[in-house]
Amino acid sequence: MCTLHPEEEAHLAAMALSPSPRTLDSSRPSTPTPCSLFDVCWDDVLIPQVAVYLTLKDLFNLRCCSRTAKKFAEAAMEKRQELHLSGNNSSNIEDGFRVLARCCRRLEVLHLACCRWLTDDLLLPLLANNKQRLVAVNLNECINITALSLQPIIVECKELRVLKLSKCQWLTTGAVDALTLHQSKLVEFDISYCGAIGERCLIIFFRRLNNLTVLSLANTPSVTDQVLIQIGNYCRELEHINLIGCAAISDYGVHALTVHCPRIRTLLIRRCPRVTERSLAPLRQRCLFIDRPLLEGAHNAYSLNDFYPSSFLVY
Amino acid sequence: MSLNPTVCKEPKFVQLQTCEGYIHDVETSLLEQMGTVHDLLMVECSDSNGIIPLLKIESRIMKLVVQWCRLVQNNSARTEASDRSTMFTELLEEASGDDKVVIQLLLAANYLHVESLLEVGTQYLADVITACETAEEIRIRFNLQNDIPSDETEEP
Repeated sequence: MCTLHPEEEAHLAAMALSPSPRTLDSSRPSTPTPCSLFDVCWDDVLIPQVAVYLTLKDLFNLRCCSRTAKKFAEAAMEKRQELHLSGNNSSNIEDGFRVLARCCRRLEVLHLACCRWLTDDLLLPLLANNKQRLVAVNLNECINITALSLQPIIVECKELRVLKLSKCQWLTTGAVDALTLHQSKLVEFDISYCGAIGERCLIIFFRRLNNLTVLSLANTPSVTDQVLIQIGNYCRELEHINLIGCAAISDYGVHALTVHCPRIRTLLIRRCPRVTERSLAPLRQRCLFIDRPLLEGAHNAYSLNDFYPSSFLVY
Repeated sequence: MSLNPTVCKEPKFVQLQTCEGYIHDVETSLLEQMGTVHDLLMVECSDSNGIIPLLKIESRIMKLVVQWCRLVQNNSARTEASDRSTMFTELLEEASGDDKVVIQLLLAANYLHVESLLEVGTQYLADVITACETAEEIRIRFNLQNDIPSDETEEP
């Protein structure tokens, strides 16, 4: 038995006042009055089985059709589980986002990468309405938000498993410390190109991320062999790691990482001049995908003699 | 009438009465697809003549529902969404059905719990909405009146 949405009841009540009354005499069965799109049950059919196939453009078009269509579109937005706006920088996107922030209440996946228009004022209301269910948040290259937007994500999104903050230069050591306190169940994490984070906070952070399987630290200058050792010791489920451009790491750190992470399948280490075939050759036999091809005679880029840890700390 | 094998021999047809009073003889083998009717028979909810009243459904729509159930039964290997969509479109074309027929089919499918018809009908409806480029096209297609006040139109 389906329950009626309040707007459905109003719609049906309006139909009951239409000029062609139904026949109630049971000996003379009546013909149902003509029906419209919104007569179909919203909760059982229209929202879970029609609206789920509609794009945001379709829903916003419906919002402009009629009052009932607007209520339906907003009811559909309320139940929507995923919001994909990555790369969308169209002219009226901010107005549309305000509507989504007000209507969406069940989001689990939020993709807003490269949304240069996004500010804290726009994002915070959406996070306030959806913090209980968010599982994956992608804020890569959202250059105009600040750590203020990150606060509800860190503190209140208890189900968070995927967090992407690539090129978020506003990401501070303090924010990573807060992540350490509140978010230990992350499975996928991206802080590539985040230059403001220190080595020490990364070392402490990875001690808690025991479920991590996908990690990107590309072009993060504070990633050192010490950080890789911590990842190796505590992130034993790791499968894919991106260390492109981490100039401070060496064979020592890669060796420590890969010895302790038996599930690793992908290792990206281009532009890591201190990582050589000394650490990579054994991994090629493990059938890992390594983005640097094997070159003839290129065994040791710097020294034939030893592994050595990175000799400086970056804060 | 009951489907309980300990009570009586399973009949080959069930009689369903639509809102105009017409009786439809439907093969019991199709009833597995009509959850509501199947459940009604399990608790012996037909009247004394063994006729099950379905007063929310028109005869024309009931015929299409039964035709759909036969198509699904006879094409049980064609379970891909695209195959089912093709079957649905062909059924509509044969019946010269328009969007109103699709909506009535969805109402009937929801009432009768015909899951396969709900799936294919909702996909069809979603495709129709997506094919409309503007709000005006949607209004024309589904005969919607623009009753949004102008001041609300300007708000986000």
